Amino acid sequence: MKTSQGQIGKNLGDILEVSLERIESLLKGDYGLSKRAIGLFLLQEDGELISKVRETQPDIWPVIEKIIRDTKQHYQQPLTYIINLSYHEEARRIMQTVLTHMPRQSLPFRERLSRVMINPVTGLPILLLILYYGIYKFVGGFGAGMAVDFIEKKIFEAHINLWFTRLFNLFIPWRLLADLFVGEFGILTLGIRYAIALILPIVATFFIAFAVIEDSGYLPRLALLIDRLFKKIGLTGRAVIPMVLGLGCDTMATMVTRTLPTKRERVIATVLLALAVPCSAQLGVILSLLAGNPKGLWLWAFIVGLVFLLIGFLSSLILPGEAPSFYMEIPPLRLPKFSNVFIKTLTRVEWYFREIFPMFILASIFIWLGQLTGLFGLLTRILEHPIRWIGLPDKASVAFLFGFFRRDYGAAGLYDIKKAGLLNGNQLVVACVTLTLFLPCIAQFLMNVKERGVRTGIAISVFVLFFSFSTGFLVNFLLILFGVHL
Amino acid sequence: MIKCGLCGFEFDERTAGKSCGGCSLAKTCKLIRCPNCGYETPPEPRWLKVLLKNFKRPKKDTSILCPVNIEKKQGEQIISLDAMAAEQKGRIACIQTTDRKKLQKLMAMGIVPGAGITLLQSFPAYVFQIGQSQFAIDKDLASAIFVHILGAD
Repeated sequence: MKTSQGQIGKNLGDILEVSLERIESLLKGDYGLSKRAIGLFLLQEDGELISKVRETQPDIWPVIEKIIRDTKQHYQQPLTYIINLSYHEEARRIMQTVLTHMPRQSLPFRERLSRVMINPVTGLPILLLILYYGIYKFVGGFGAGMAVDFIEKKIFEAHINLWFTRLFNLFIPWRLLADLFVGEFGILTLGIRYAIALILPIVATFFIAFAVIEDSGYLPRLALLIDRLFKKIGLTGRAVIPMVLGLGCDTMATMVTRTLPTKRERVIATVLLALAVPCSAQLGVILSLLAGNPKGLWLWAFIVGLVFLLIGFLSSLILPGEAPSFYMEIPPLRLPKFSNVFIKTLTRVEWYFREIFPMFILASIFIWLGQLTGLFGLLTRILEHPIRWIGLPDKASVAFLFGFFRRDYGAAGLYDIKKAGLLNGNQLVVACVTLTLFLPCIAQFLMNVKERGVRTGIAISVFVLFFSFSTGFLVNFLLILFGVHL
Repeated sequence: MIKCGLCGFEFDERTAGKSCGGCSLAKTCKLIRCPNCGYETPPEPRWLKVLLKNFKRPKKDTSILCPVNIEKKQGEQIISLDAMAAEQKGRIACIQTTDRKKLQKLMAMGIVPGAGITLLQSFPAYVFQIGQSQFAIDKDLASAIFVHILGAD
């Protein structure tokens, strides 16, 4: 502030400086900042400081207000512009004395790569390559395919499950109590197996891919590529960050919607995350479910994409508020550092695991209690009706009941049903579409309530529940109508 | 602000109640009374307001922040950033907006009169280089930045 003192007076004539001095002389009391700084903020009509001064010196405020009003009349531009201009001028003066910039004759490689990435003609193929290798091959193929197969079959089914089942059956004579741990839905055989063998490899591989993309500086480039499309759904390119993160964990992404500048954007992003953005665990399971059925996979991606755009477009029409504007700094591209990627992945996986692990165990306990009291059977039978409407076998209702606990838990349930050979191609696509759009998990629901309020949180869930089944019904109906067999 | 359907007087909905004077129904009555001619109309429903707000075209910012007598060197031309061609270089002339937030955003990027600027790309977003930094902005923000084009006719 001291440096700018002389500059403001020198550059802009005496009027602003005189007004500033008059305000300074009027200010009494402790504001935690220098009087000059307070004066500059008041001249720029800073809301927070105006109310503070009004509160502290109510008798003086009208005088200060008149000074501000009179000063404004002397300038064509807002005072904030005039004052900021002199800050920039001073910063430029200091920089010129200490910095000599010698630009290179040719563009460096990373700058050329950056230009290729932001050009729509070359940028879109690059985006598809990143999605294909980063998400489909690495998360879907390696994480959800190879890693899950290995941990589930070689570790859990071959050793841990057998060993624990034997152990429990040997030491716990009561069948009912043993079921809690090693039964069909037991804590060890189902809860921990889902968490470690199915979800962990998928989530870990996604977060590795995300950290590499994030650290390379690709996200802002993706944001500018996608801005025009996102404007149609009431968002800006900036929203690409929570959306891509949502492909990892929707709960984490809902928290990140805070970075969006307007309330309207935050609500639209929350609705879309709850409805049409599958989390990595869910995505991984769906990718492996539809791995042998490329037509089904394309249809699933098309329907979910269509719902994303349609609901975004409709909510942008309904929700009040101004159209947002897009601005973003494009940092230079950088080679990600292994240690950073490792630490980021580990932190995120730990956060995710802490979130889901107790939930999975709790789900097993609830199901066990439900089976004991007959409530589980009753709920499954109730759910069988909407399940039949969307053309799925009765057994799929168990997967949907799991889905109430967590969406990925539901998708993992579907994995077991597919393994048993109970679903044909069409049913698989309908089930995957409905479960993708299905209710947000408990953690995401709580985050929705925390970020958007109880009313909006509940309203989003109710809407999502009805919308997911309606879409499932419609997809099934259209597949039958057109005689499509996937 | 609402416009009276009878006399065309523009007034604020919140202050309209003052013109009801000592009317005994003033507390429960929902009608809005024009302070100029006394004509009464029912208020617009909230849902209609929300709908209309979304369909209404935003008013174009016509107020001029750029000083009229910007100093121009010989052979220079002033155009907005969204009218520039890719790879074209220039010097910022002024920012034309009355929106405080917009102004602050642009100034935070270092867009101040006199700064050198190069437009790198104009589709799908406007990407420009200013100093050592690159930024991407949309058409709305780009149209508020006016640039002296070097060496133009």
